[in-house]
Amino acid sequence: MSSMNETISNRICCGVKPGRRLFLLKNLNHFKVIIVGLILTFAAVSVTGVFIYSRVMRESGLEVEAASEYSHYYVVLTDNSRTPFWQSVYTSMKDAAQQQDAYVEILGENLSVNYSLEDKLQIAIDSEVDGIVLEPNGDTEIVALIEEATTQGIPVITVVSDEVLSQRKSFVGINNYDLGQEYGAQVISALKEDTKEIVVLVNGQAEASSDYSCYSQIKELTAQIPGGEDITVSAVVIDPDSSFDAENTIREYFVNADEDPDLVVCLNSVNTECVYQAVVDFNLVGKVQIIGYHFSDRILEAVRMGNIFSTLALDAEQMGQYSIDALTEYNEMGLVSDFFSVDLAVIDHSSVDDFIVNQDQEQEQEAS
Amino acid sequence: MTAKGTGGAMTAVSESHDKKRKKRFVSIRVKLIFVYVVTSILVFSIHLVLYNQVNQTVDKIDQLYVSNISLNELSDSLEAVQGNLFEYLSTKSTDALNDYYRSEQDYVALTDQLTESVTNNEMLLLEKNIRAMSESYLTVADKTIQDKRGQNVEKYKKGYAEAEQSFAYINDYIYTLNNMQFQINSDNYHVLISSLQYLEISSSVVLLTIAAINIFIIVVWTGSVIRPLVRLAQTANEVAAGNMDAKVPGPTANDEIGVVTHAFDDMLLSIRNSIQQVKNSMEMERVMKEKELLMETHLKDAQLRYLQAQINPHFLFNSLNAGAQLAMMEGAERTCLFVEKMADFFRYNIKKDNEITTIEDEVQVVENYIYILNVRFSDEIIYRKKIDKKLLSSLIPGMVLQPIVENAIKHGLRDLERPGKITLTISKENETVLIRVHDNGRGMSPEKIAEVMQCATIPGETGSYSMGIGMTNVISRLRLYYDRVDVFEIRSLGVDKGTEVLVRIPANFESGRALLPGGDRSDSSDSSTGDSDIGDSDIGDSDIGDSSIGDRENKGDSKRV
Repeated sequence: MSSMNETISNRICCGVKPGRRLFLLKNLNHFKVIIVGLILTFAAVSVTGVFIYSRVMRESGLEVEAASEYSHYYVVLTDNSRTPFWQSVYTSMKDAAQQQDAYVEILGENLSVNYSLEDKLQIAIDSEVDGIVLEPNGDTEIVALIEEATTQGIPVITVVSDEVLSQRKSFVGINNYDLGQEYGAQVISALKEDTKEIVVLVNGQAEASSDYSCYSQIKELTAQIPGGEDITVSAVVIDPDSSFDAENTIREYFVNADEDPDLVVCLNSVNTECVYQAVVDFNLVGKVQIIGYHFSDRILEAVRMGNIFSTLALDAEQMGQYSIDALTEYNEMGLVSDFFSVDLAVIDHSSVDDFIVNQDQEQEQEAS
Repeated sequence: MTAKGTGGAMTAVSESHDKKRKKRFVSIRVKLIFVYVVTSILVFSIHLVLYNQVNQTVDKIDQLYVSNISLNELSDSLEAVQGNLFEYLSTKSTDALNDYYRSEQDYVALTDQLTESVTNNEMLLLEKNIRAMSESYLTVADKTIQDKRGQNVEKYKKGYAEAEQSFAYINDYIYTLNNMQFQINSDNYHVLISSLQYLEISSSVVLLTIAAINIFIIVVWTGSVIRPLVRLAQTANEVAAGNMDAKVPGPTANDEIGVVTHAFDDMLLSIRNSIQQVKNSMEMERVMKEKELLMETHLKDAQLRYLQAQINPHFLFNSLNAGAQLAMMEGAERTCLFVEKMADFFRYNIKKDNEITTIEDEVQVVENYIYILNVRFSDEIIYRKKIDKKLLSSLIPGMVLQPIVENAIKHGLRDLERPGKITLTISKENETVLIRVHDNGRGMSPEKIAEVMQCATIPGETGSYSMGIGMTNVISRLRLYYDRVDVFEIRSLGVDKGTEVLVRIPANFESGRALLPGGDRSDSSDSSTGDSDIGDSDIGDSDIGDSSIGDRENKGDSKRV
C-alpha cells in the first residue's frame, strides 16, 4: 500500500514540469543568496562603521599615536626663538637631529613661565639633556652655567654669537669680525651725502658681546672713509631681559630723538622689524635708511620696495645642520671643532628677487 | 502506453522521487527555531559590538582625568618634600627628617612611573624632564640635608636656594604638563561626548537596519512556510468544487507541509484511480446487463414462436388426459400410451418457465416426440440412442434437443424414400458433453450449413431456411448461455449423405444459470420422467416400425379424428 502511495505521489510530484521546477529552485537559490547577501552587507556595514569610528577617534587625537623614541635629547636656548631666523634654524636642526637619531626642542616654548636664558640653561642642566645649543646674550652668569653644564657632562654649543670665555665646546656662526666688516661695508654703501647720524641697535650691556663688536667695526669703518669724521655713529642699547623692550626702546628713541637718524643698523631680525614699523608709522620712509638682519616676508618686501637698504642673513640651514653635527661629533668623539663658519648673505634691492626665488625653490624641495 | 511502459516510467519516477525525498527532512519547528536563532544572533552580535564600543568610550572617559589626578598627586608629593625640607632646615627635628625621607620615598615612587625615554611627544618629553629634574632636585635636597646635619650653614642655605629654584622649575613643568593634559583631556572629553552621541545615532541606525533585515527574513521565511499551506487550501477548494484533476502547484518543501502536500496528492490520485475502477466496473456491468437482456429477448422470442405455433396447450393437455383415460377404460392400451406420450410432450412444452433442465428430460422429450411421429407415420422413423447415463444429470437449456430432432425429421427425412433414421448419441469428450443428433436424410450443402450458422449470429434473423421453432434460436441461446461459438455445429457430407448436429457443452457448467430468468434445476427435474427406463437400448428398433410417415400421418389423422 505504501509503495502504491509513493508511486502515486511520484506521479503528482512529477506533475511539475522540469523547467518550472528549475525556475522554482532558482528562485529558492535567489532567496538564499539574498539572505546571505543581506547578512554579509550588514557585517560589512558594521565592520566599516567600527573602522570609521576608530579612525574618527584616532583623528580626534583621542587615540595617542605612538611616539618615536630617540637616543639623544638636545635643547636650544635662545631669547629669540620666535624670530623667523630662529624658526628656520630650528627647522634645520630638527631635520639634522632626526638623521642622527636625536630629538631637539627649543626649551621654554611650552612652559607657563617665560624664563630667562640663565634659568633655561639651569633647567637644561637639571633635565640632564645630552646637548645644548645656546645663543648667549652676553650675561655673565651664562659662563658659569656653561661651566656647570660641562661639569655635568653636557656639551654646550654656542651659535650666532660666541661666548669665548666659557667652556663651550664649539661655536657655529660667523665671527664677529667678519660680521662687523660686512655691516661696515653695507653702511658705507648706504651712505648718502647728507648722512650724518647712524644708530646701531645693540642688545645687552656686555662690552664683549658680538653686537658691540659689530658696532665698533662699523664705527671704525665709517670713520675711515672721506668725510667720515662728520658722521656720528652711536649705539642704542636694548635690554634683552625685558620683554617688549626692543619695540618700546626703538619707538621712544624716535619720539625723543632731537633729530631723526639717517641710518639705523639692526643686528637682529626683531629689531629690524620694529625699526621698519616705526619708520613707517612715523612717516620716515625714504628719510631713514635701514640695514637689517636676517629676513622675513615683510623684510624682504621692504627690501624689494627700497624701504630697507639691505639685510644680512646668516644661512639658517647651515647653522642648524652644523649645530647638530657639532653636538653629535662631540658625543661620539669627545672632541669637536672649535668653530663652524656659516655663510652670510647680503640681500639688497638688486638681489632680493633672486633670493626670494631661491627660497621658494628650497621650500618646494623640502615639501617634496 | 502499454502496461509495461507505464510500469517502467513509474519506476523511474519513483526513483527520482525517492531521491528527492531522501533530501534531509527539515521540520517547520527547526525552520522557525533557525529563523529565531539567526535573527537573535544578528541582534546579539550587533548588541555586543555596540556595547563594546560604548564600554570603550566610557572607559576612556573614566581614564580622561586620571593623568591630571596623577600629576596633582605628583605636585602634592613634591610640595611635601619641599615642605619637609624647609621644616627640617628650620627645626632640624627628627620628625621633620622622617617626614622628609617618607615624602621623598613617595615622590620617588611617583617619579618612577614617569617615562625616561626621549620621544618626540611633547608631554612625554616633559615627563622625562620632570623625572630628570626631580632626580637633580632630590640630589640637591639630600645634600642640603647633609649640610644641615653637618651644620654647614652657608652650604645648606645655598643648597636650599638651589633646591627651591629646582622646585620652582619642576612645579612649573608639572603645571605645564598638567595644563597640557587638561587641555587634551578636555578636548578628548568633548570628542568622547560627541562619539557617544555618534554611537547613539549609529546604534539606532544599525538597530533599525537589523530590525528591518530581521523582519524581512521572518516575512520571507514564514511566507515560505505558509505559502504551501495556502496553495494546499486552494487546491483542496478546487477538489471540493469537483475538479479532481487539480494539482498542488509550486515546489514542495521537505517539511511537515511537504509531507501533508504529498499525502494530499497521493490521496487525490488514489481517489481518481478509485473513480476509474468504479467506472470500469459499471461499464462491465452494463455489458453483462445487455447480454442478459439479449438472452432474455431470445428466450421470449422462442417462447413467442412456440406459442404462435401451438394451439391452446392447456386445453389440449386436458383433452389428451381425458382421451387417455377413455382409452384405458375401453382397453385400448396403445391408444392410452400414445395419448400419455402426447400429454407428456405437451406438458414439457407448457413448462416454459423452466428453461434449465437436464439432458435426461431433453432426451425424454425427444423420445416422446419421435414416438408421436412414429404413431402418426407408422413407425417410419427409426430412432437409436447411445447415451452415457452419467451425463443424463448434466444441465442444459430447455427446448434444445427436440427442435434439433424436429428439424432433422422435417428437413432431412421428409419425403425420403428410404427409411429415416435418427441417432442420438450423448458422450463425454474430455470435459465436454457431446450431444450428437444424426440423421440419414437429405443432407445439407455447405452453403446451407453456412446460411443456418450465419442466421444464428444475427438475432431475429430466420433467413429463407425456415426451421420451425427455430434452429437459429437454439443456436443463439446455446451460444449466449455457454458464451462460446463452437457450442453448436452442423456437419453434412453432402446431399443424401445425412446430417449431423453436434452440441458441445461443458461437463460441469453452472455459471450460466444466473443469466437465465427463473432458472431452477429442481423445477426442471420435476418435469422429467424419472421413472422411464432410458438406457442404451435401442428404442427405435422395437417401437418404431418401417411404415412410411405419410401413411402414419393419414393413420394418425384418422385416429385423431
